[in-house]
Amino acid sequence: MPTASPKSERGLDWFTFLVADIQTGFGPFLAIYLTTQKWNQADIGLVLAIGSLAGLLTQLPGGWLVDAAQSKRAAAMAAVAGIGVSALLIAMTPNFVGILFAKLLHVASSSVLGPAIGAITLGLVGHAAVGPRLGRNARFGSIGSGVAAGAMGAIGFAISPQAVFFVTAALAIPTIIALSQINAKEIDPERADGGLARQSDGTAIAVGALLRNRSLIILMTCIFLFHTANAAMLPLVGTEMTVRAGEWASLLIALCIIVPQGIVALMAPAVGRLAVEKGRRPILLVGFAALPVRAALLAATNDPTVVIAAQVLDGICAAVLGVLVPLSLADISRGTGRFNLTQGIAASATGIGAALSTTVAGYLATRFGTPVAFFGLAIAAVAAFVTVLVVMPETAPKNEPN
Amino acid sequence: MTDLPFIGSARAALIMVTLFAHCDVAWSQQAAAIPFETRLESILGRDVKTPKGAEGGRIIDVLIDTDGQVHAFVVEFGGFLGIGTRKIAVERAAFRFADRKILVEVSSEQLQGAREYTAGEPPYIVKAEAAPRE
Repeated sequence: MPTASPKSERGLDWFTFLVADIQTGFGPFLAIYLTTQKWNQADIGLVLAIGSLAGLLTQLPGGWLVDAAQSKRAAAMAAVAGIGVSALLIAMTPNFVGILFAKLLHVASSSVLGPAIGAITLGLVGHAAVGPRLGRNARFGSIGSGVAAGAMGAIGFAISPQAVFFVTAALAIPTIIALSQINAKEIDPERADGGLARQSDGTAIAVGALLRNRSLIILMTCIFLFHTANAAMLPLVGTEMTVRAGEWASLLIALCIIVPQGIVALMAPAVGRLAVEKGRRPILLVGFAALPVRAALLAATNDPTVVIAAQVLDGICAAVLGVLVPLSLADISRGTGRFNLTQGIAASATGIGAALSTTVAGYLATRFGTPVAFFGLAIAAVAAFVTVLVVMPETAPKNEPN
Repeated sequence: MTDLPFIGSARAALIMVTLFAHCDVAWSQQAAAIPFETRLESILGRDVKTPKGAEGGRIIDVLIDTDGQVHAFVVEFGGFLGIGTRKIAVERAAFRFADRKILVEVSSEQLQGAREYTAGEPPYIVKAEAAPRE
């Protein structure tokens, strides 16, 4: 079994940091960019909706593809190149067809890149060490997100929104360089899929059989409920800040984004270690318990101090889920050879939950006001916690060394 | 006598030139409403600021009535990286166009009290300086 060299581990650190950077511009910021390119609201909505829908359709094939790929690095490299090209297209061809194609290219590439990072991680360090390593990934990823949020925001404001996408495209190059630092020979391709120990015939488990795994179904339900509760919270908070805080609003929103990233950067490796020492369930319960508390805080008040405190809780949730989801998936898919497909399924559950969250919360906020919207999200958050509490099993293997 | 045909074609040329000159005049009379020096561009995406610079945004839509009269512009205010923006309709009279800049004469308090613009619903329009009305 190959082991990870320090150089490869450093390469993975930088890779997760840079991937988080290049993904930053593709969020709600894209809509802002399109308005500066004289797009009307209907076209913006259409292109983003098609992109989101396509995204949901590409998650499963993306995960399946990474399982099937012999070289996980090559899959990741192609995905990063796709994202770089997508950013370049967005910057250079801001017409409807250009942006639509760029968006589709981006979601397809992201659907491969996400599982590929998990595959490289698992292939590099194996199941026993993957908990702390996932924590380390989350640390560098959140540092990347935090730094990029500040930097891209500044670039978009000081130069132009278009510049953000040129910078994003340029960042694809160091990302690929970081990836190339990871020694391909140290990534065991079979281990990267979860290993085939449980398969008597040495091939990956049939997809149908995988989908009937009880732990997997429960985990997907919990992930779905979590994101149904979580996704709309930051946008609603942001809008409230813009209403209450006037000219300081942008700064406060930036803080609301960066504070959770800082929490994840601090806590994630410890979360990974604790999940190995104490088991997955206790950590999951802490993370899922923080969400209803956060929703209640945000429903109750607009005070900026309380909102920042709520964002600290967001950081705790993000640290827990950022580590525990891939870790639990590694546990559940162990020996089946379908680790990356399960990552794709989790990404689908995330995407569907997030879409539901923003749609329902948007409707509630417009019709009944923001506190009611937060209350609705709190109900989903409580449902998520109860599901984890009552039915989610411990996925750690019984004989895991401490 | 050898230059008679030349005179003929010269006269024909003169007639042609006069005809074309008339066409030219007709064209420029139709297009004369806008001098060639005026630069036209879409209003979508243009930055707007309140006079004190406290609030800023971009024009994202134009609201007209059934007669084609422009009543208000929808401005997307605030936010960071696209998170937390608010789309608010402001009456046309509140906008001042000067140079390359657009000012919108509304107060932060008016914007804070405004309801967000949703397409398909009667818009909440913020008025210049006066109290907002529905």
